[in-house]
Amino acid sequence: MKKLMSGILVSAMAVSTVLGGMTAFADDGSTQGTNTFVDGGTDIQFWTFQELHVPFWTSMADEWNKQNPDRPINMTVTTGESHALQEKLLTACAAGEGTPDMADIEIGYYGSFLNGQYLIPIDDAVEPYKDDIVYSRVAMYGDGEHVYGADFHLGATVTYYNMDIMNEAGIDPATINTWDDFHEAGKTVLEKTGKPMATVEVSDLFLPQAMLLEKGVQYVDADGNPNIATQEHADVINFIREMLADGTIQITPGGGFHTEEWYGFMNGGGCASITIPLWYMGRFTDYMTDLKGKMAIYPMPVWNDGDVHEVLQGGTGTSVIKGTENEQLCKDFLAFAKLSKEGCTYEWKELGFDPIRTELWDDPAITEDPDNKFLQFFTTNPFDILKANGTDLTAPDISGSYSATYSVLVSTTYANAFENSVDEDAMELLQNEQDTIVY
Amino acid sequence: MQKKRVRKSFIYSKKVAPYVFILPFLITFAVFYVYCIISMVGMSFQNVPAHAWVGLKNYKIVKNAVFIKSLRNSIFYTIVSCALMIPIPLVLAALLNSQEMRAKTTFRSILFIPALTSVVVAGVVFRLMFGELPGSFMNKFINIFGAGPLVWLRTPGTVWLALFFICMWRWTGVNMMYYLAGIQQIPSDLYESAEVDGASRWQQFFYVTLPLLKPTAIYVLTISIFGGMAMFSESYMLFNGNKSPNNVGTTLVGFLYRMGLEQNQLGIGSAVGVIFLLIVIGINLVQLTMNGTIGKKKED
Repeated sequence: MKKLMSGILVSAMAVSTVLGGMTAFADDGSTQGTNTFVDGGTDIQFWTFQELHVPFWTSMADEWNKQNPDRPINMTVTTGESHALQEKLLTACAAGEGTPDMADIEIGYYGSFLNGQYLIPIDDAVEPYKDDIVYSRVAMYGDGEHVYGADFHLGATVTYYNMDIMNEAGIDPATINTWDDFHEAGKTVLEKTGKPMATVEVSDLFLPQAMLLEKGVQYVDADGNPNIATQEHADVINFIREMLADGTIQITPGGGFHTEEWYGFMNGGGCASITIPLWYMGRFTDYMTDLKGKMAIYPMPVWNDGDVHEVLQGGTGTSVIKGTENEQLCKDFLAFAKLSKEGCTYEWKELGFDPIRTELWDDPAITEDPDNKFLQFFTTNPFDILKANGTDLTAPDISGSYSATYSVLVSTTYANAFENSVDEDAMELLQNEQDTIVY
Repeated sequence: MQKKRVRKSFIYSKKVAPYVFILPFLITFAVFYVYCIISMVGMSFQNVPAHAWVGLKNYKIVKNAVFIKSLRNSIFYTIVSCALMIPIPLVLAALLNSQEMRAKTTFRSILFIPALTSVVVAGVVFRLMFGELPGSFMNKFINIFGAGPLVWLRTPGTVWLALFFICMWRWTGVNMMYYLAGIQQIPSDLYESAEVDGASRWQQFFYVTLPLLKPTAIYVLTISIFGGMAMFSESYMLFNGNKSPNNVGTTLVGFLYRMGLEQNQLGIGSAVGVIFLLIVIGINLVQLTMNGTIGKKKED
């Protein structure tokens, strides 16, 4: 008996230690915000992984109540640590219990929610806004048949130049048209200033993804299967490797464009440029304040002269979660908040997100606003680029295996390609990486 | 009357009482662990969330390069952390127990404080300490010895250094407390008679302290193996998420987490969990048999 008891206790301990590892950091410090509640309003639960989004949702709920007094909502927005919150949401969806009515889902996770069929199509709610917006930014949160989410921003990828460095090297960024021009300019910058032209991430994918999208190639194929072992992708890697070899590109300090090391490095004038979407403006105004008045925004380079392809990157899809009792109300509110003039104006003014709604690009109250902190920060106007690019933009295909593929790309593929196995043949490397994707 | 007596005899029964005392634990264990394990084994043969049976398909994950790498990482971490965490706290405990040692309580508290610190906070601090810019704490430190700035968190060697550093920082105090409790239970007359027999301090340590600490050491070894195999949060916090560059710090639990919770492949995640459970139970059976905790002949 004694032996049995001790056996049970030992295995109990083993099991609880193994499982205990998973719950060791459950304190994600979640907080809540609400709009001004009205009598008879419908309760809506909302989850977001980004604290900055909370005031957006609560003020949009107030605006909605003003315009729709017959269908008021009382919104409670819960936020918490990004990964933990989205994983909780995924688990709740899989269990079919404890889900909120609506949620913000980061692009890297979105594919998992699409695959699990946890989201409600919002086609009919988007329809009235369709002609006023860049539709590819909405369509990307869909499966080709239906759309399930809308983004906060357009997320057009541009190149930000540090003009102190560019002037010292005597190069006008307006003359950089192709990636080859960019490489050549980089050589001059390196020679004159000793600084790299750009950096490439090993724990994220902005530069290679942007370059690949310009070639019209996606990380997943039309059926949603992983498709990273392509000749175009190998060409992109080889191009970046060439720049790494001559020092015109460095590995991003910290490994990514959202790390403390990188912010410090860029803020201190460590690097001449960064190619990333326009929503990154907020990172400059928040984390790289020394660069105020020194940064200029230009279109990102293309592969061949005359290419007009512009790409969209990153993002957050807001969706209505299956199981809600207020399906239609949630859908209508979602479309209103994300796609209406009021919503897009708020997103631009407060969050620095390039508007998905095209009429705002020509509205001088927006584009020439002298009090806007984003327009003040940069020496060129981002709306000039939006207008020049037009609305025919390539968005990443995030369906099928995108989440699994993304996870491999940002954990091993680019680390191997640019840092650990720089001599391995790019095509071979990509094939090996593709084989490790679990889908 | 009859009823009352039955109840009374039940409560005061020597046979029943122990089970009543451990009942709360057994209930929690049954609900939160046994049930979960059974459903995990079931799910490891299914495609979740569809819950369609797929046979052994999920177990094909053992051929995945990332799975193999994370298993290797976990085993390596366990072996090295055991090699560090068994002897070092023992020596510290012996020192703290020595009569010549001053300010014992202060040192004991200092060594124990890290165990009470949140891993989240510690992870952030360590991540910044091991930053790759020349101004980071560790780079400044090695600069004193003339070494150049290192990219600490992206090269395997230095990543392991950082992880073992956190491990030692966090757990040394805890293991030391176990040893200290064990040492203080050793009757002092044993040392006195050893001294009468002319044993030196070292001999006393080797021939009295060490043998009598064996049960404590076995316990510490067991929990260190569990702790090592289950390591996840340190890596998660050090890399600000479950994605270390090139999986240098991805452990088996990290891989399970990635599959099950990040990519919603709960079937595959369950399969990894089953494999993991078998490995841990296997290691512990071997270890407990080798040091005689299991399979010992009944002595009482």
